[in-house]
Amino acid sequence: MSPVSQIVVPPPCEGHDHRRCIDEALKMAAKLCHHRKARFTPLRRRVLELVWESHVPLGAYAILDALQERGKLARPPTVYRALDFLQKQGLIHRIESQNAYIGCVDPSRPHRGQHLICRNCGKVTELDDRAVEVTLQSGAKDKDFVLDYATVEGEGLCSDCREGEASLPLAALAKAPISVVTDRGPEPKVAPALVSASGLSLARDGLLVLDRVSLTVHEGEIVTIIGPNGSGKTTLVRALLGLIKLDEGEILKSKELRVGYVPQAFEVDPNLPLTVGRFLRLGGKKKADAHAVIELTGAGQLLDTPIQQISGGEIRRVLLARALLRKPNLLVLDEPAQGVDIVGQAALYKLINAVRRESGCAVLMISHDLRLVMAATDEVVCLNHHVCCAGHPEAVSRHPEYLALFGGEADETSFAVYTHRHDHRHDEAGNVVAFEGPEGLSHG
Amino acid sequence: MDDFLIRAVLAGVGVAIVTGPLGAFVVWRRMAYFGDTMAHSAFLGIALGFLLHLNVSIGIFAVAVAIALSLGFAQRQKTLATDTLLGLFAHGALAFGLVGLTFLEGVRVDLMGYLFGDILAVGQADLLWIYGSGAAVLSAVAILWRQLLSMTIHEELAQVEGVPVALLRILFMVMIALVIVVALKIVGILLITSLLIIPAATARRFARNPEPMAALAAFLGVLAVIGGISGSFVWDTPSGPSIVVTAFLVFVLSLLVPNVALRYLAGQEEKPVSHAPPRLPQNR
Repeated sequence: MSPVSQIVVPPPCEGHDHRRCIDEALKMAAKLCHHRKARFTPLRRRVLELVWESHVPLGAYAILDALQERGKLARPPTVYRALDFLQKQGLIHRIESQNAYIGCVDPSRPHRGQHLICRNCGKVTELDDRAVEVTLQSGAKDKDFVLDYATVEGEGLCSDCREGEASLPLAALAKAPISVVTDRGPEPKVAPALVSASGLSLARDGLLVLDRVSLTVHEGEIVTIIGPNGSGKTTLVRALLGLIKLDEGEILKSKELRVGYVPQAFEVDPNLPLTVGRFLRLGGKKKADAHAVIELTGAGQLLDTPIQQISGGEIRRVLLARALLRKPNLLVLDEPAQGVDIVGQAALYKLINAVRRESGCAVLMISHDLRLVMAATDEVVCLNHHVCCAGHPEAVSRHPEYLALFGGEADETSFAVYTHRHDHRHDEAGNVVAFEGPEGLSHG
Repeated sequence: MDDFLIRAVLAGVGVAIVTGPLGAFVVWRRMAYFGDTMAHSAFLGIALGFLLHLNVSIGIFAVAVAIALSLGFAQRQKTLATDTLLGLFAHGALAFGLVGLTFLEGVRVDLMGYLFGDILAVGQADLLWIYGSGAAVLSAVAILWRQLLSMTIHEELAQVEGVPVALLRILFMVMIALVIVVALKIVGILLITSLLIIPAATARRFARNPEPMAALAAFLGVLAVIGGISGSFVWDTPSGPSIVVTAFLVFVLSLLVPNVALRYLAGQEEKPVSHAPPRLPQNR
């Protein structure tokens, strides 16, 4: 075969911004439709966007599902009508063998679909070769046949899949009709993502609370969101938990995701009689499991106490125990140290670290105590409606946007990660007790 | 003993067993005036029932559910507080109902009967209604107990843990509407909330956990019904109000039980009185 002009849909290069591809495709479509005086309705636009968002061909029902997930009412005929329109305008191609659709890379010039389909990852590459079309036409003419419609579909293995290594996760992705995970191309070897959010936007009273925020939590990782008051931290977490609806954006959750949640505000109505033990049992776990967790969190001697009578620090421990009883692989903590004194805070973060070590679950938390965060986290996301910067705590603390946000307060972290220690602790009656072991001998 | 008295006691007991646990939830969820508003809307339901030639109970039930749902919807706006909305809906519905009733020609509605209840006029069919719907509500509460309780303690925590909060909230309102329809016969529109609130409030001090409180509330409700009907029989007083008076007296009497006795009941060792604060926030 002669050298062909091969255009990959989408180019799987490093750092490739698929969102931009989508935006450009949409812009192009709008322009073409305007030019052709065709009605490019919002629904048609949305369908085209969905087709483009996916790296594999999308079936009509997958599109229907995706539309309904976003709360839009769409019936099969509407979707099929939109697909028909898009196909007629040459904006998408139909992959006949899969009864599915893929975006066209060059809609300005009418052409037949010619596609290379990877049998492993399902990725489709458009082979836009005029020579093939000419050959078909002339061949048909020789046989005195009037050719109305022809598609070429080749099946095989794409370059990524031939490398073998990357084949497994990609094969899994092929089953998921819509995916944005691959946007960044093949990722370096990290634990699988538990939650992956991209482009989350939310406006309230005309103000953007969240502005295209993206965030990923991998298995076993501690991610901390920091940011000034009112920067949208809690909103982001609530959105990730599905407690509020977003204007835009996509949240992908792993199928194994099991969330343990420790809310920021927790107050039980005094009208409701409830002991700590009963509250923990409401989580619905066997007593044997409960025992270990309660030991770990130190909620043991509180079991018979009414939940309204325990202190802020104890509430946090109890909530943590309740969350852990669900055996989560992601622990979500909204300001875990709120209402806890400085000594209690250090102990609490230590406990969170211990929990992560013992159970191996990932932790996503909100905090605004920078010093403590710096010491006990793998990744920091600095949020001020948009993601200012994200990465390893060391790197974030030197980032100009971070310094601009936290200014003087941030300086403290440059000379010391908080290491306040006590040479004693307090027992249940409040008496001073010396620490056993070498820990905490640094100051008195 | 007269037949109508036996029926009255049976009806009252049936209602009290249901209003006990449900009333506990009303108290925990701070929905006392929510129930009141739904009860006030009953007149509109009665008027609508006559107007559309429906069973009056169905009219009351439908209007109560509609009021509850529109209240839930109205709470989403942020300029008017919930108590204002409740007053708006309660008296709006009540007034509409009273005006609507005057337009019904040839229908004379026993206003006093609806306002204060007419427990002695309870018939066989009413008993069936009470026990049928009571069994339905009680079994729903029992089946959904854990989820309802989780939602009451912390709605968002429950939602994250997979409790269908929005659905349960509607279901709970439907249950209250159902109970209001049947309790209307017993104590009337004006006093319905008392059957939900007073036994639960009385039980609060004696319980350390939700389940005993709900059970005790049911028991105290039954006590109030039996006491009230007996009282009305002996002293020839109106039955519905007598039941509420008894419930209230039981509440007042319960206040006389000292805290020391409560702790003894809860099985806690009586500690020697110490002047140190009982339990300080502790740092560990």
